[in-house]
Amino acid sequence: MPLSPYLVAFPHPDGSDRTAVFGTRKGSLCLVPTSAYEALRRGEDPGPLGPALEPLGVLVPDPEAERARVLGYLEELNRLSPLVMLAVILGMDCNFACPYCYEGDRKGPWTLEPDTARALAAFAGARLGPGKTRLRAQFYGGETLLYRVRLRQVAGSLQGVAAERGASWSFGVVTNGSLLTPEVVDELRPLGLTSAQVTLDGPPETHDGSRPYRDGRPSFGRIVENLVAVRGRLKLGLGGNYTRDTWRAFPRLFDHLEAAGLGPADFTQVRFDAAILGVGGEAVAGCAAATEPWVAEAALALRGEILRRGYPTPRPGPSTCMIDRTDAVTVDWDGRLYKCPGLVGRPGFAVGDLWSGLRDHRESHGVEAWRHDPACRACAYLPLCFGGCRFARLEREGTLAGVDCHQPFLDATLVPLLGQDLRYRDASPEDAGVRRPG
Amino acid sequence: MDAPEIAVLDPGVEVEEVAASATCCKIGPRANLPEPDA
Repeated sequence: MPLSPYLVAFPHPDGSDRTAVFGTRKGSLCLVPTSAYEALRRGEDPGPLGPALEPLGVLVPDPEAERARVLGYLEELNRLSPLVMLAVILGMDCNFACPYCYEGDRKGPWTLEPDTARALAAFAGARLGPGKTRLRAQFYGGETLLYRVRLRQVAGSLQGVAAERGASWSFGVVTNGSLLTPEVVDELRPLGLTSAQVTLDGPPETHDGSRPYRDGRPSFGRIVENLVAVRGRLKLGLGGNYTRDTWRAFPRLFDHLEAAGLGPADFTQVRFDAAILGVGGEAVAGCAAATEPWVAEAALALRGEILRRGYPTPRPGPSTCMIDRTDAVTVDWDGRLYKCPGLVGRPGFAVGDLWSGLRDHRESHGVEAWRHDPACRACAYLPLCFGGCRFARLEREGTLAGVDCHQPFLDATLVPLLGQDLRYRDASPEDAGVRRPG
Repeated sequence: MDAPEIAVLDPGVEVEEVAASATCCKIGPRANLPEPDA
């Protein structure tokens, strides 16, 4: 039985005579004696290794069939997915003034109105049915929790339509954390709230400069107070946006969290990402940052620090984006539909609205671009990437057509990143990571 | 080939599990877009 074409193998960093083998189709990771792995590379019969390595996607009965399986992965995923996923913008007002905000000058006093909320419930209900049995929404803004009344109404109507259709329902909020109090959480949990994603841009000395209140006041202290108060009531994800100038300060964030009594058990996921400022401070897609040489260093160093401190963070594995998923859509406050939160409000990128429905976006959004790219078809990273981030492609090239190749970034980061997993998983029998999907 | 000892550190995920997860962003750096379900 031959090796899969979708493998990344490297010597174990501990110097032992073992080869770490990462299967990109499944995100599997195993250690094989180097002599045995070399024998497999020479095409020798795997013997008793076969039953152990085939379930990991390391050995495959037929490499060409494996390629066909990966090329059909997204179709299979969409066929199997029980989810209808909505990312819903409740309004565009915000109490923060983050200089890198990708919503930029689209902020303002606009709110999802009651008739739009009713149309949203009808739209969601129409997509539920046989095979589509889970309705999940992520609400964001602006600042989501400035819209508590509207959030209760929308969540309640989606909860109702899910119940009518026999589907499960839950939602999360993406929030700056300043209004995430126990009272708010307790009010929303009966309506389906399960998680909140909060952002801290490092310790106070960096966070308060990049995420101040609109009047300039610092926000770090209030957010941490709220995290302490709500922990245990819902799942908490912690994110942070770093720049070339701030990323080295981020490890001190953990000291502040621990001083406040927060620790790894209080978060289900921690990850930091690059926020890049364009000309005049206008936000540029973070995905585009994969081309910046300092980002690989920062991404690896901060992920290593997250793991060293014992916090959960995503591991590499197969992943998809909203553009690839048939039943995932972003709903703007005015009812227009988009296939990526980064595209919201951009003329020409709406793919319909709640009243007329979703148009076919496959050609306009380059959904199949990777399929027609010989380099993508031959790439071992394909299941991790599937053509990359279309939004990043748009930012860099001015078009969604074509692929956003992550090969240089993955060449620079994947092996060290897997080495981090080897190191910290070896160090502790308790798994410090969370799988992607989480 | 004899039976060398292998260590499975992560069995990986089946497509069904990925299909059932509410994830919308890829590995790698990106801006403050909505996160995967926490």
